[in-house]
Amino acid sequence: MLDVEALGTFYEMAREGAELAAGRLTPMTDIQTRVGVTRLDFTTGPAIRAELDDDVRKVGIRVELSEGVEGTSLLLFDEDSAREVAATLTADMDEENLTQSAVAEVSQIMNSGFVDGWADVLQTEIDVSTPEYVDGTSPDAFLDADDVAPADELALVFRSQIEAVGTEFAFKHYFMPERDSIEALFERRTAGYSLEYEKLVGFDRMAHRGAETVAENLTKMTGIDMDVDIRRINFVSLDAIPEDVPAEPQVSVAFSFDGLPSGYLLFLFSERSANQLVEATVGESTDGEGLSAMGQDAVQELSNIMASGLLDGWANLLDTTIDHTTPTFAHDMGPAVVDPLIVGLSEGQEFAFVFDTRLKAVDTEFDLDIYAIPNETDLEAALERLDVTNVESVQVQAEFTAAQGGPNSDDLQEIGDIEGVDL
Amino acid sequence: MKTFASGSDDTAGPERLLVGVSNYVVGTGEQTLVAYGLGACVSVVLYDEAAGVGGVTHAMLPRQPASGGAPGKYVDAAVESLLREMVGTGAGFGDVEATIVGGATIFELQNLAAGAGARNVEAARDQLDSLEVPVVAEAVGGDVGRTVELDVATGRVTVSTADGETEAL
Repeated sequence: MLDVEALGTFYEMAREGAELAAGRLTPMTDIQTRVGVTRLDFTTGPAIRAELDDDVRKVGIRVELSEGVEGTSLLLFDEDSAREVAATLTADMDEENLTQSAVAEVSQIMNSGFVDGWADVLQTEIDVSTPEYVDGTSPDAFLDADDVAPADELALVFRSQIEAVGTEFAFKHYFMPERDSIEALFERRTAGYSLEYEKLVGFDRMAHRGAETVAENLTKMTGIDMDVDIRRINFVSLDAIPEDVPAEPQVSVAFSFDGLPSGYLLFLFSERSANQLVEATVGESTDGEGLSAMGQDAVQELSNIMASGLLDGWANLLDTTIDHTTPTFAHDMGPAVVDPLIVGLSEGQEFAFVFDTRLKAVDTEFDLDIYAIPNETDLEAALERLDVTNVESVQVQAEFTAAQGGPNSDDLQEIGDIEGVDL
Repeated sequence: MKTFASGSDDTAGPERLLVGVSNYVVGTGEQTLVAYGLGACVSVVLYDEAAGVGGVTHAMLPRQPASGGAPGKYVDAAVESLLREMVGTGAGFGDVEATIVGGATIFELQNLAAGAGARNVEAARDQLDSLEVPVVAEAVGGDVGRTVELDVATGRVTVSTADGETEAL
């Protein structure tokens, strides 16, 4: 069982560890740092591997933890950031092995920051193995085959980024706890309310299929070949969600949904992606002038179709009804469009499970972020109804309502017919 | 050099300090305090020109419940805590002036607490009134997100929006 209060404690543990680690980097290197996004992700081994497979050379250390909590801690600097750190420690010495020893030393001190933070929060002792220096561009350089869960299982992964003010400094930390160890920690907690891990896994598998269906539909409607780039469930503090969305202006469509569960659904398109979408669907070029009313309608209605697809999939699997509002549109800074949704949830909860999906075009620069943020207690109630044996057979189908003043369902049905999409 | 994360920080030096959601930050010297992407959230900027001490809040909800909770999350508690910390850093209680920014309605959604932004603005005005801090400027309401910056050295408050408009208050 996933005790939500315990997850809250783990989140505080991740944040405390990151702050201590950042605090130890700064005096050593004189690089002014701050803690970036800290998250608990429910994710799969292949997803973590894909993230590390970005052709950027990374160096750092890998450490095994035992006793109070068991798992693998991975601290990675991008190559340029590693050089920057090393340069502050080994001025006038550019030997490769000096860089290596400087990075290893800094990583080790930062790791002890994380571990001390966790031990404080958990009030336990944690043993740390001798660090192994890692260096490479492919995931195999950092991870063993059995470090994180296989494709059909979700692993809980603690993630933190530490950023430097005013530079492109990149440091990532992953902690991949052993599942038995995490379960033992959950058992130590007195129960608040809780979610069954297997049901979250089942729900995630269904959500993944839903996301693939959305990508397929979008491909058919736009002619832009789309793929699911990221799929994950994050457990985050509500106030941290704005840090996780792009700061640039986003073309955004929001829905609230009611039923089991209730919550909010948000589609964020970069300006370039929204323009491409409009051009592909209604043939209107924006020429840098921003979206016309017709363009806005098109973005709203496509989002509406996608929202229906996602939520109907959820409702079918959970055997409930989930209604959603007509879409509302905003073109504003990413954090500003997330802000009203977290304000809406914050009276009743401190943390949220965020179902985060990124669709990416295969060969053009088009991407779309979809955030579904259910009400926490509703999610718990909804998952109680979930029959995990039913996941593979559930249909994901779309029904939709048109926005006021936008194209109506018949219009879209027509678009669907022309594009060969089953709406 | 010091680390800054999300809470209060009084580090000296030419720095931009981010004021995250549910936080407030006191600044001195050459610091610039920035609250990004305010939607329904409200920032209250407090500044004492003579002391060269300023501060910015970034709160989500209007009033702290009797059961408590992180002060930075609530407009009323954040303003009071920020003022207290500024006085502790050298500001004069009677010398502080305020600017209120945010409280917009970005989306009209049925389930979204109607008027959340307006209630945050109202809570800010009420709290500043009860603390006898004069409000010298406001950029509130409407349907646009805002980013607010306070240059502590000069006291200049600027508000920018997604369409590239920047306004000095």
